[in-house]
Amino acid sequence: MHVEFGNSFKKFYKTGNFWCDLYPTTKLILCFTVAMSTIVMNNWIYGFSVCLFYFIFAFFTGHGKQFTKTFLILFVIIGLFLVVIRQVGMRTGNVTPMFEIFGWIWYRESFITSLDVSSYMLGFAGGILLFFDTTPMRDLMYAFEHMGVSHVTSFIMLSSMQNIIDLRKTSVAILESQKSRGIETDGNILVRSKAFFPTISPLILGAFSSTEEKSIAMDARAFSVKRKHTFLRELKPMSQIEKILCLLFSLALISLTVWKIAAALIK
Amino acid sequence: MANQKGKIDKLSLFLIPIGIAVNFIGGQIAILLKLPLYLDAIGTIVVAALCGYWPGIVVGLVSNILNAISSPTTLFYAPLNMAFAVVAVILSKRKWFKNFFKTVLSALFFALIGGGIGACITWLVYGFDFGSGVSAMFSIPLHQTLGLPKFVAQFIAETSIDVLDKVITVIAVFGVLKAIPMRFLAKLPLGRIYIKDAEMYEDDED
Repeated sequence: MHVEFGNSFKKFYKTGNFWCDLYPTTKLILCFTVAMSTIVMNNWIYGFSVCLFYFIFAFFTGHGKQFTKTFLILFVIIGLFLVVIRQVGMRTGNVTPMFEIFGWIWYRESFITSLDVSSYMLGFAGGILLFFDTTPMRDLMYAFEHMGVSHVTSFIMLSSMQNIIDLRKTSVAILESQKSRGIETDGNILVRSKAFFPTISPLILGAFSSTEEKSIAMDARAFSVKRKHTFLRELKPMSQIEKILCLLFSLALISLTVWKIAAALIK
Repeated sequence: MANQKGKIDKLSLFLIPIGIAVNFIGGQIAILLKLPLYLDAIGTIVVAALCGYWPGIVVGLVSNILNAISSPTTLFYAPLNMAFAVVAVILSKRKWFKNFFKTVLSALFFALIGGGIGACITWLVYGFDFGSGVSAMFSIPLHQTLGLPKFVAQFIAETSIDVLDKVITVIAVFGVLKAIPMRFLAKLPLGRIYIKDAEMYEDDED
């Protein structure tokens, strides 16, 4: 059993899912080009079709639940809110009434404009969400390090994520402690603002004080050694098919952009 | 010890992840206390004020990249946090954060960046119209009742919201800078600015 465990590190890490096992930069390029294409197209039919595709794809990769949860929040904040904002804020160009809600007339022109804007915002956001939902940050950093990015960048990204988790726990503990010693956290905005300082200050000072020890500990683990790093978990390198796919998607985005600019100039 | 030829010294490097985490947690505490504010630039300003341009800019940029994991549209606003770092270094070098009133006054610069550049980004991203954030709730009445152009209304709304946010932010920064131990400050590139009677110690060394 121990041998089996040891041998598992000799193979490339795999999840068994076609999408999740793609090289992180392949996923990044594919998601980013599709996300950017919604901005370039600026068309609600295209934008929302891409969003629907994201949903189906997220379920296919086994991350549907996680994706839906975050995407729905964005859909309400960006999508629905923007539609209402445009109906209230857009006054010029509205000529075709659509329907009426308690005397408030909704116009087709501002409705279509809001759909266009919210579709590319959600199209862009969805692509980035899908990428981060299906790609662990350590895998992305692994790919970047293989491209020549310094291991310091990986440290900053991964350590920040860990620090967020640690400091979140500490902040709750500090807030509870401050409450127990009588600091008001309820009341008007001024009272609540005052409670902010005794919570954030010890949090930052405590985090800062641990930095020196961390610096020594990292040096003891050869953080500053300038030589090629090894990885416990290796990912399968980018295949030829992945390279061709990335090239095709990038070319498609460039062509789409040129076509849109040319069409705008001709107009 | 200090920044040489754009290189980040080791202690500053280890402060970067903390600055990023503080940016996040500041916003989280604001939510816990039900404050209608962002308070997400404290880490950027503290690290920039103590460590210089590059560490501050990295904190600002990475904060927005990590924020994009749950809210990708924050990526568009990354230049804001990076601009906060640049301004924080300039003000720190001019010793503004050593004086409470100057510190509070500095909130105006940060609010102008947050509101000004923020309004420009919102304007571009949302198709040259109002955004979908809290500022839209203030900018639309400004546009409709006072007849202000949409961009001006958006600019005024975003700057006004940012003033209160940045006043609280810089007061927190002032408190933190005051409370950091001298022996720790001495190891940071711009820490000397915040050491009491630093010039006197230098004279003694001479």
